[in-house]
Amino acid sequence: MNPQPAPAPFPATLVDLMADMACVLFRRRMDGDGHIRYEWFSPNVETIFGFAPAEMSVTQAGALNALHWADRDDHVRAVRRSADDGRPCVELFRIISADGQTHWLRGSARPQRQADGHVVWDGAWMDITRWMRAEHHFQTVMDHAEDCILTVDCESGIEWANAATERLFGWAEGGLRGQCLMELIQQSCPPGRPSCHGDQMLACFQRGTGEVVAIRTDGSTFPFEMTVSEVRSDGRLSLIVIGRDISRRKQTESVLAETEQRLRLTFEAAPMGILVADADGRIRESNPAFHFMSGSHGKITDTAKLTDFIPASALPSMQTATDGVFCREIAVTGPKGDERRWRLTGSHFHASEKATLPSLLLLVEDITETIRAAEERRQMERVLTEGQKLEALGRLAGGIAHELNNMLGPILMGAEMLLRSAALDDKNRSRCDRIIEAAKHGRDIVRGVLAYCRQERQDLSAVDLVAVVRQFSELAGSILPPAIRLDQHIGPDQAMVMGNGGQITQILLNLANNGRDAMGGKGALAVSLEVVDGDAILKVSDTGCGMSEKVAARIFDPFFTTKPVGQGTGLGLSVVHGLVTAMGGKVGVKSVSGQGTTFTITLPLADMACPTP
Amino acid sequence: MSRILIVEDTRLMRDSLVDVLTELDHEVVTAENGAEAVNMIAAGQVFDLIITDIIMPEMDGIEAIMEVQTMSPETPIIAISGGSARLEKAAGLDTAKRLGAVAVLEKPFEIDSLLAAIQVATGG
Repeated sequence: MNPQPAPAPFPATLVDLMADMACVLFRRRMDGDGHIRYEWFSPNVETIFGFAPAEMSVTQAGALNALHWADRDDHVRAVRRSADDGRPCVELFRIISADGQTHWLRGSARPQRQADGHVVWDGAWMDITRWMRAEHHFQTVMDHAEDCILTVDCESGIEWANAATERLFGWAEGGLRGQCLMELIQQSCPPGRPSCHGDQMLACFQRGTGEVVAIRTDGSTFPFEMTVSEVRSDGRLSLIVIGRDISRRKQTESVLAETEQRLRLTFEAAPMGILVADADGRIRESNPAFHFMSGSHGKITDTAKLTDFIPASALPSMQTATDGVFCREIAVTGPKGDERRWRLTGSHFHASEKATLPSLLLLVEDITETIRAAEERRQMERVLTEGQKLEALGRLAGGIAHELNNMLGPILMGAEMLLRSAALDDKNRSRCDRIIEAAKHGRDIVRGVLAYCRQERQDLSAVDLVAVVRQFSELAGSILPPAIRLDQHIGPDQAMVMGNGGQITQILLNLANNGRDAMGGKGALAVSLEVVDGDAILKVSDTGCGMSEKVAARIFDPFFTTKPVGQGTGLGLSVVHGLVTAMGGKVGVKSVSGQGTTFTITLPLADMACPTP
Repeated sequence: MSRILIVEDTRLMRDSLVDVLTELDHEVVTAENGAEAVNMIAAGQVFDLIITDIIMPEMDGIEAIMEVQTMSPETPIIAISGGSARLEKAAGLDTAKRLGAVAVLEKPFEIDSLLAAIQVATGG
């Protein structure tokens, strides 16, 4: 403890002024032996240190006891250095005041060597605690920030960078100071490059928020989103840069985009039309398949409603949406104006977790063709059945005729023999006459019935075989199993004959059926039409089991069949033969056992010069 | 007068034919189907005339005609048929004719028609 010397080293006005500024004035002395002591403090030392001037003591080493222990050595060093080189001593330390508070003091003291070898400093300490605390607070906040925060000065480059920046980019503490911002970004300096000096330096960086590729000290890069803003202070330009590593975000975005794209591509590629409509009936989504079937490509705007394309009566009420799936078929007018049939399959769902009202998902299928094909098939079956019925009737008539004729023979001849051989009285003669008349009448009836059956099929008119063969090929697809290939070869553009189109089709079907049976479900059926020397030549070939010469010779005979009992009466080909002959044509067969069979139908071309009757 | 082979599977028809021809002093032999007929001829039996039905089991008339033509081409054949198994002209008979039947008759025929055919076939 040192008594205050009588004269203060500083004028009282200065002392007061300094006190106003929370500044302590002091005089420090180092004697010839290097002992340091403090000779005088301004009275306000008590305010700041909490000790009266007389109570301010120093340690053995020469540091004030009030100094924070961590700062003592540095301060003493600074004092001794100042004593050696005669330069002002930088006073910068913390103290612990009497009430236990930490204060930051900063000041300066100028040394003066005395004649007696002592060094005397007159100095001042300013209590900068408030500012230091503010700075620390600021620093703490900045260092706790996850985002990178930097300030860049137009002259000196990066002024300051927070801990996050140093961590993210891999720089040591304080290492970024003075670097150009370009060190952190993979971006070449702009052409006609400014001078890296003053305001021009900052022209390299775009203001606002943007994405760049950032570089770490190890050379690795990552996507960096940064916001650059300008600050002018005292006419001096600085930039504030705040940014973050968006690798993870970009990856998430990429995965999301990929997922979204995959879903969208699936949606677009779906072969069925898909519509999603809101509860208010507006179309939210529609896919290309739907655009195609409804002719609505490019026409579905934000305001398009489901009912623009689908009659409201076909849709379930949005209000009474159920959990089930609904399915119905409707008739609509297609884009070309024709009538189409659509099958709608729909269900309600909530388009988002927050949605209160459900949306409607609708699958639309154009089944017009399917229905048409089914119709055609039914019709063909009907035609076939009709034809088969007729054929069956014909068979029946034929069978009955045969049996009846065999019975009428004995009746007729028996009665005739009676007349010839027996001596009959008139009554018995009459009886025989009656028997004979009845038998002949019976014969006429049978012949009449057969003639009637025959007559039905004798309408002849000009028929274009080309059209008939084409039509047959279409129908044949329905009766032939998929493993049988149908080859069609039509030579001429037209082949007019006098015939019955329906019968010719029936003939071809008959031959096709036989071919199919011969091939056991797999092979090729070939139909060809050529015009040679005034005749139209139709051939139907199969790659089936073929037949021997003996069988081939009998193939057109009635009741001749190679099929097991119950599977065919053998009338098909005899019918074919009869029909062709009635049209003035010929039918022949060529066959090789194990290889296949070809039926050839030759019909004379119609003389088109004569008008058809 | 002639030795006639009747090939016919329907009994009533067969018996009726036998009755008529026998009354007319012909020697009549019967066979119930084509196979029987062919066997007879193969066994050496000779006939002046063969009257055959077309549609029969075992071997029908057409095949019989063909076989017979091979074995004894000089024997005339008359073909008869309950016919119209198909709806057009009795093409079975057409075939028979094409294969060499001298005459064809559609059942039921009057006795006179039969006699006329026999006349044509045997030339007597």
